[in-house]
Amino acid sequence: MKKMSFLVSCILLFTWRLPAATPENFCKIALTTYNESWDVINKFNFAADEKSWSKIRAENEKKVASCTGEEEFLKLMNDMFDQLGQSHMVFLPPESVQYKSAIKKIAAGDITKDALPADSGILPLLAGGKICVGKVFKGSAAEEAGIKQGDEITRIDSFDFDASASAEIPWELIAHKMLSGKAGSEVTLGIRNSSGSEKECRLKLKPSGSRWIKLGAMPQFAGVFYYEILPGGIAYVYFNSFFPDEIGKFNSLLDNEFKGATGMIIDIRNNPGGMGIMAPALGGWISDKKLSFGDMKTKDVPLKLLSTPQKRAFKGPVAVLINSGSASTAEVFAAGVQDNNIGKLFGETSSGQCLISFFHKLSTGYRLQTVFGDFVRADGSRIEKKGAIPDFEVKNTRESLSSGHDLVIDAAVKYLQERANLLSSEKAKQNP
Amino acid sequence: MRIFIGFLLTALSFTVFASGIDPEALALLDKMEKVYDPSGKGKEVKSKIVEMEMMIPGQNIKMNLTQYYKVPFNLKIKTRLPGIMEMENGFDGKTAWEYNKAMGGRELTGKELDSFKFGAVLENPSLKLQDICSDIKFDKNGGKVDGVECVKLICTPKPEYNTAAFSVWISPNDSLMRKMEMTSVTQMGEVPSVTIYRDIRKKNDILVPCEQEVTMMNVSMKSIITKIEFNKEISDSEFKMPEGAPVTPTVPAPDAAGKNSAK
Repeated sequence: MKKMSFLVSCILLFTWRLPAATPENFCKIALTTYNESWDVINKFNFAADEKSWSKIRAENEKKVASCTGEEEFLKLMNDMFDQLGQSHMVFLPPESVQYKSAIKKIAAGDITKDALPADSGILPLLAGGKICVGKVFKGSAAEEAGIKQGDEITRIDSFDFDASASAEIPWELIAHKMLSGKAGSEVTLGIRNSSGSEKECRLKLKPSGSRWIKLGAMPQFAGVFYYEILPGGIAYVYFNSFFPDEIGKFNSLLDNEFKGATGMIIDIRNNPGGMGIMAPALGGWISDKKLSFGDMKTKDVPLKLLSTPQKRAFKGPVAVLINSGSASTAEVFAAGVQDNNIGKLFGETSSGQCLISFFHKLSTGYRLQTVFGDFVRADGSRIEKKGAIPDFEVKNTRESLSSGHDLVIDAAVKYLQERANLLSSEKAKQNP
Repeated sequence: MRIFIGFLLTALSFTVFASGIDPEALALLDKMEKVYDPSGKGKEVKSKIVEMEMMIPGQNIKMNLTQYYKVPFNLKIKTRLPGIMEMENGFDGKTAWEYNKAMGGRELTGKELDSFKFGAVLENPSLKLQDICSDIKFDKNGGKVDGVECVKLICTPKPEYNTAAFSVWISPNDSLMRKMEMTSVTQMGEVPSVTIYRDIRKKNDILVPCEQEVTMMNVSMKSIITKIEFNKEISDSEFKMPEGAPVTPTVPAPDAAGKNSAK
């Protein structure tokens, strides 16, 4: 199984390389890093007692001992994590390499030190085996560049998108990550429209309305947060991670733009997660009941994810949109909504990468995203390797998107309208 | 005997005053009181503001904590994870609460309330350990802490506090408290924690452990006290739940699905 739960990690692996070191020196660094990595895994991983793991460790240690370069080492480590069979195990190069890269860009006048996080305004979605423009947000760089819903994304900068090459790679997530960055930075897209003609679009990313998200050793990324009121008074919100800033914004909207909304669409497609406790936190804003969003089982202590119900919580019907790019905390949230029957899930089965993890910085500078605990949803089942299964499975087609219809949103709107009508007539019967 | 130690996360610190149930323990705690507060300054403390920097070195995470305490049982802790979140936990002598913009406001109930309340009780400089514990006894499993030989005391709070027993390690040679083990009660569950006290220095003529290392679920967090202010005016309103944080009374959550249907 591919370990691409955090796209940031993938991009780093594609992009950054350590400065050259002599093979002998590198071998020492690699072995130290290798042993430290295993120490961390054994200390924290809830499944560290697996007998097969010591065999995997021993086998790979020999390979590390003969490792001569950075690229080989990174591949070896991530391949080894694949063998462990858990999501959320990712090996990253030292952060200093990122800084060096960032400094180069700053020196070249590419970005400013205080650049805001920015985004293209495109929600990339998989439709008919192609990565397509699923949504173009209002006022965005993509809208200004004339990019249309349904256009196929064939390339972003020098990275070619061929979603048919592997179904296991979260292409939507990769595209989404590559379409965000620093305000003012430019991205070049290869676009093929519905009639088959191709063009190149150069977008200057615009501030995304969110902020940089940087937590410890985790790679920094640009938060994205969009909302709008759809016809019929349905509130729509999209965000690309579960961090306090995003949930706090949602809270603020309830008192303002979302006040009086007849229904709520929470679009967490291409959302790779964030802080686990933010799943029940969001739950507290869509239900005024105290709810279980599942249990986390760490090596020593079982922990519960409980919502903090709020009086101001949204009282209307809720639809949550998921796809294969919805992972980790996004899946915890989706499963909690389903298990507690506080909304319905629309779209496609989520990623199935739902273990509790954290980023650890090793003494050699390398970073390890490692598993800390297991997650069991409120109904007692697991999401890892299964995903959250939507109540209403809806797949987009290129044709539907090109005609201006995201079928997943359409299905959610239809459900919410019916539900709102039902609730309204029930209320009328109770208070004639 | 008064020992001031910073308050970490969820009620992880306390002020120890001793007498004792076990006479030997009492003698040790009496001696400790004289070492920590030789001039009796602790009695004059009506409030304190402690600022701390906290780090999780392995994860490269840094936080800032500010603890506000006012006699008799007012306590508030502000936690800032720069760029990520700010959180407040408080107790005004009656109501314990937590608040942040993402999660909203929450009133603590049950064991969680008892735990936070006990944290405020432990901060009170006029209360002694024998006032709040019904039992204090030696445990044979003392051992070394940071290479220093220590004795271990098991302290059982009085039943009215509804709080589990905790243990402290004291080095008999210098009468310094080196370690504490207790269980923190959070909304997510009960989490055992171990705190090691280091860099014990005089502040306002009272010994204070300026460095602490707390380990919970194998994760170690180091905190360093950067500033302590004693007897600074703190308004009672500081300990109230922030306005705009309406709270829904908490009811127990069911363990299984299907019982939670809300819509």
